[in-house]
Amino acid sequence: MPIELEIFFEHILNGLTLGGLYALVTLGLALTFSVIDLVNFAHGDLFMMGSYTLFVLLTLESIVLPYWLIIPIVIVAVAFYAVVLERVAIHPIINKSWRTHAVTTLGLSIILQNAALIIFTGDPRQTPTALTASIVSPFGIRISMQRIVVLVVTIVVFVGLQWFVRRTKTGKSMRAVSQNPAMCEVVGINVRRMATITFAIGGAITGLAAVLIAPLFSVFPNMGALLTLKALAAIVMGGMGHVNGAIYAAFLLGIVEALFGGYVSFAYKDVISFGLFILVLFVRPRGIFGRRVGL
Amino acid sequence: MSQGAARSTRLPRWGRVALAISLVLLALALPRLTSSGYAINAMITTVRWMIFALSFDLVAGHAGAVSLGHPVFFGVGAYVAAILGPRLGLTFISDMLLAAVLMALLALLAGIAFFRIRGVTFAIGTLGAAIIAQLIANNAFTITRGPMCIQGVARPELTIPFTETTLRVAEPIQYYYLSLPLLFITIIIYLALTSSRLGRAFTAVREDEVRAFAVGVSPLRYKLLALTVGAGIVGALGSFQAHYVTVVCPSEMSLALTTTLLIIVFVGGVGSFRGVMIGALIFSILPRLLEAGGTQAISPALQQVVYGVILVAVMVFMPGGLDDLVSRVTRRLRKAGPREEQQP
Amino acid sequence: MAANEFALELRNVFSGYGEIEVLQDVSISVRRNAIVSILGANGAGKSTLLKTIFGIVRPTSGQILLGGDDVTLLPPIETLRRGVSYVPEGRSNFPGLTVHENLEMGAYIRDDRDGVLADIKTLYERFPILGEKRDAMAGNLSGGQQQALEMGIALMLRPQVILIDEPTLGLAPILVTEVFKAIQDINDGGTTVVLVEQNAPRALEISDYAFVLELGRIRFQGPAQELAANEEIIEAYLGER
Ligand SMILES: Nc1ncnc2c1ncn2[C@@H]1O[C@H](COP(=O)(O)OP(=O)(O)OP(=O)(O)O)[C@@H](O)[C@H]1O
Ligand SMILES: [Mg+2]
Repeated sequence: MPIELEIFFEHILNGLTLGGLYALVTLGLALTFSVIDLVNFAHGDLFMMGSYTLFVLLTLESIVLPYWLIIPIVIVAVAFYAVVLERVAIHPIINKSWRTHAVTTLGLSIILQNAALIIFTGDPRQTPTALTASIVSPFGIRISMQRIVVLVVTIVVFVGLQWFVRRTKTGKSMRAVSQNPAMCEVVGINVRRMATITFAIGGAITGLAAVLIAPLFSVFPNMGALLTLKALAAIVMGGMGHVNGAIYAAFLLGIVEALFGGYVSFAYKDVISFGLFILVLFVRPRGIFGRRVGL
Repeated sequence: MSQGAARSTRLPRWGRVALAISLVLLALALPRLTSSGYAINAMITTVRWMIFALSFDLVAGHAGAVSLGHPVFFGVGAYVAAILGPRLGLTFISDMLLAAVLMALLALLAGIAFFRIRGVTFAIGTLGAAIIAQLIANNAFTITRGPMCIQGVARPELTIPFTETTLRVAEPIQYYYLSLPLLFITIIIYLALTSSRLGRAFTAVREDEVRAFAVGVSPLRYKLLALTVGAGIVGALGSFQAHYVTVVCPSEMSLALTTTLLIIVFVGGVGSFRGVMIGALIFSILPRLLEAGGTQAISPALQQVVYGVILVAVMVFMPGGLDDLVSRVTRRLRKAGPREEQQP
Repeated sequence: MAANEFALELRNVFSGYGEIEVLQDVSISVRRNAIVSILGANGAGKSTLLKTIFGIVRPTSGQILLGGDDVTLLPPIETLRRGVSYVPEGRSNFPGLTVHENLEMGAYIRDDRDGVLADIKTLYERFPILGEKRDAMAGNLSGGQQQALEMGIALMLRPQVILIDEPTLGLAPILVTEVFKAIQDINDGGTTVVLVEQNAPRALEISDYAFVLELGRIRFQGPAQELAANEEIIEAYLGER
């Protein structure tokens, strides 16, 4: 393969992994947004907390935990963090306006980022796993196993979530809550409980994202802020509340960033993705894929 | 959200005038009470946050548009002073005016674009725009020098009218007296825009845009008015800041400023003059008190955690903010005290 | 036996929204297996009455009895468990769920999956159009079909009492006839019906008994035929709209 083409494919692969990262982070946020109509500005910080949980588990002095065991621990941990946030701060304001939602969750974000800064300092931390180092090279393109795992898992989670919301009773009632919460009371669906369940699921997905993706990048206290905004951009571009649309938009952002960063300017890659987002906002305020009812 | 609070503790007219005059006198006399540059710096910071927060509250509190990009106007205003001012050979005052006008224009354009977007999407969009602005400030090295910052912005030189003397401003106390007119102008604009008929129109827009439209109030016009004026004020403030610290960095438009604004305005009492002023005072003084009283300097991170906890606690338990608390306390005191005519 | 004679009773109920008091001293008795209509002009408080019975709006005083049991302050979920279903006014389904899924949501508090599926099948026989559209999104059905679906959702709990709020609003005349026929069917199946309607003459045709609300108070009550025959009442309270 000519070297130009090889480089091109490498950028595309990087874009897909990045898209996978954005998609997984977006998935949890889109879920809570579409079910309980709340935009959680602290969502990316859950990813940060998951990443530090991974870091702590990898650097335990007393025992060496295998990665396959760490994965479920981080997933459960982040689901737990999410439920605690929901119970403590979000539950009491759930029926208030979007302004209250935004300010409260931004407040949570400040707390979490600075708490992480106090506990772990601002130094970037690495969380390498066995998979990061193992390189495979299909068709001459060198890629770490970790990236392949990220892509595969993103697709599996996406399909799994589709199955869950279409086929299970809990999934169907989550969709019911997203479409008509007033009617839920009439048939006996406990909207508040569904909100907690949704946060738990969103947290679990974010935990999975963190445990798989943190090894590819470095971990630092405000790593979540940019991720939150990327996920929000994907959600808006996908058409608020249209979960599938948000996922496609997340991949689009990842690929655009990788290509722009690779060929034009690395420094401005985020400017391009946010610029794309603002452009979509002005040209198609209802998102690229149009708006749908609920989940 | 807060008009009830304002109603419940209105002082009689003469009382308000007296209070205003004594507060102005206090503001003028304050630096005379101390000789510490540290204290005077704290006063300047307080004035700065008051101006910043009042201008933000015009947009977020009164027009109901929680813009997360407000500090951009501050930062760009500062860059105008640092980059354009010297090239155009402008003086301190005309520099501030230029920044105010340019930021008002920028806000007008931004408002026309962004006010088509409703609800939380507006907050997300403005946050995106703010990040773009900050990334550009960080990376456009040839213009802003990025994180190296632009240094050596000229200190103000004021020509005293009808005399030949020019005053070179360098001392904190001089800066303090320079900042006061900006504060007073801001207060007058804020009160003019939010009291009486105009204020009611704003309330209508914030509470229910569709209904506001139905009763003949154009939401877009009022939101644009609030945003343009707010941006003009904060642009001038940014210019002042540049001439004061003489250094302009990308952090002048950082998200940390946005969160501080949110804290001041929402903890103080969104949409309430008194609340915002109290909020600005507390959050300018508090960190210094913690420093002075506590064991050594409290780390900025811990301070932010405390702020965050206060903000979340206020949103959950006391949505009206401190303003509402003050109202309730004074009402309680009045009830407990000698019987008095009930206000209608 | 007195307790069993009435499926539903309200005694001197006051209720409303915060400061706004809507229902004032409302007393109502609904006999078992009856169809009882609540009539009245816009804003009379008819919907508030149903919401108060169901538990969405809490009464400030008075008593609500179901089959003799006091349920005054119980939340909706408990009212549901005691066999009371509610069909709110306006569109009240899940527009992005299929017809089938909507019916499943109607049976949300039931645990017998097989029983639920059997009941859905029975319902498809009663309303064949729902069976035909079982995989269509509820939001894509016509107004009449959605109304049928909404009654179907309420029937999934095999309720003893069903509260229906203005089921014919905005429907074409033929559909109105069908809806009233369906309500009679439901009643024939042994369910007590409390019906709120603007279309007083048609409602009185199928009702056993009726109450007339005005500004939150009961103005008249009596057997449906008597009210239907009373020109004075028809003119004064149930006049043309
Ligand atoms: N959620 C609410 N909050 C405050 N007031 C309400 C609310 N819902 C209804 N009201 C008021 O209560 C009164 C009775 O309303 P209700 O909906 O019960 O009337 P209705 O008889 O059902 O009228 P319609 O024929 O229009 O359905 C009205 O004055 C209405 O404005
Ligand atoms: Mg009604």
